Amino acid sequence: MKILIAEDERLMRKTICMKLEKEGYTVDSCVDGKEALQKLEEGFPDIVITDIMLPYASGLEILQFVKKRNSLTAVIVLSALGQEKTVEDAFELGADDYITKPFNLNELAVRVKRLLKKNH
Amino acid sequence: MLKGFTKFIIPDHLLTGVEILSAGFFIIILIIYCTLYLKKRRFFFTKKIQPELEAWVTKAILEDSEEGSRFNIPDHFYRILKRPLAKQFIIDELIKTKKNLTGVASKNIIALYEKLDLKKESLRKLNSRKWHILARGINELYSMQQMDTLSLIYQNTNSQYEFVRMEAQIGVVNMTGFEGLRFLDVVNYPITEWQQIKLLDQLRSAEENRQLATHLPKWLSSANDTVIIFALKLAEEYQQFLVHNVVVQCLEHSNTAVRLQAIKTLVRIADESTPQILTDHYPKEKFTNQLAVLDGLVKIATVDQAWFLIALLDDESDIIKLKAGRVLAHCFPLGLEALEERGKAPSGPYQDIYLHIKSEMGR
Repeated sequence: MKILIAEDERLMRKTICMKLEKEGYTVDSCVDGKEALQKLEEGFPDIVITDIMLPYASGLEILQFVKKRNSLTAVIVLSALGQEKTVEDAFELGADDYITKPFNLNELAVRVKRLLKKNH
Repeated sequence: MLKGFTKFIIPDHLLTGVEILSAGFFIIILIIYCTLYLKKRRFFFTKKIQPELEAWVTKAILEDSEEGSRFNIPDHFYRILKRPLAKQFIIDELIKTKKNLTGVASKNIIALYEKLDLKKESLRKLNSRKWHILARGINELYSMQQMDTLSLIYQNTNSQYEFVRMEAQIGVVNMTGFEGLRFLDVVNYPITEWQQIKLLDQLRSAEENRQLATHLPKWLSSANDTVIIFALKLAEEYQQFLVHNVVVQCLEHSNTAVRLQAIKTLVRIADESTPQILTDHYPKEKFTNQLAVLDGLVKIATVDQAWFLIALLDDESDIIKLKAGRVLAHCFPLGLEALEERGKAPSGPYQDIYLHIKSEMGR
């Protein structure tokens, strides 16, 4: 199972990657929206986990790109507290789940597992 | 002074002038070079240690045991951490990551911060005479929930330096929730609008304090106007009905901003007497606050305010007419019809007002 993580904070990105790798997934990551879109052009993973606020292209743009091209890829949006309106927008664009920062890594792992079960 | 410089233009002194100028340029270039060199060195050093530190820290954060009891810190790690730059790098990364995580990972980050003795580094900053270093130290300590440093942080809530004060106030609220607001008893510097927003934001994640209503009267009579405004915002946000009468007294305050916030707060904690209190207060107010009264009445007006509002339809200001019309239309069953009737008048903007409010209500 392949997962792509788009998160601009280095340590945060690395921590999520390592956590999900520990759970047995193949994880790829990118630092900004532009890199995420490039990687998605090359191929779609099973799940994309994206922060909303990313340089060059936002999480919502990534979400829109994924849902237009491949409806089988699930998208989890990471949002900060107080971004309720953006979360609403994300759901309208087809987001499969969202997690509000700060979040528990175990909870993220559970949600990933649940989404994969639902989609496959 | 200009005369002193002009002597270097004279051919006899021209060479000295050129020499002084060259020396000046040389010193400036040397300073720029040294600064850039140090910056570059710092940059490359950080780049060098970054991958190893990150990999190890990530591993530690993901330890399953709570409190990081099983952290096995390699010796060379301590050697790297002797460099202040490395220490600061780790502290910054830990703080950034902790803001995004909860649960065991968050506890592990705190445990790691303590085990690597980074707390000492943050405490050292509290003794700095430079305000930006002091503010940074406070930020690090509260971000890492170092409860034993609470009193040290509290001492800075009334600091003469704005950013130190802001960090300390946010810090005590972050660590102790509503309890931390006791700095409002003593603060005599203004609390900026932005700081008030940040404090309210911090309080959103705190457990609600039932004692808030007992503290509010004291803050509402503070000598610091910004404390009164902030206390009014607290009463508004947490709907503190018990302080209704104290808030009414704030309508007589000499500061327009305090009165404006008191009007907004009263609308949110209104009882059956509030609409009449606001309409009685209306003639004493300045124009902007009068508009706020009318905006508030849209939510709370009763039939007792009908005549007051009808009289305002003859006010010389069109915006007052519009707002009074809006209250009438929203609060009274025949309000919109009355406006329609008024709209038939040959003069005045009543027809436009009626159509505007009608379209608003239709949305």
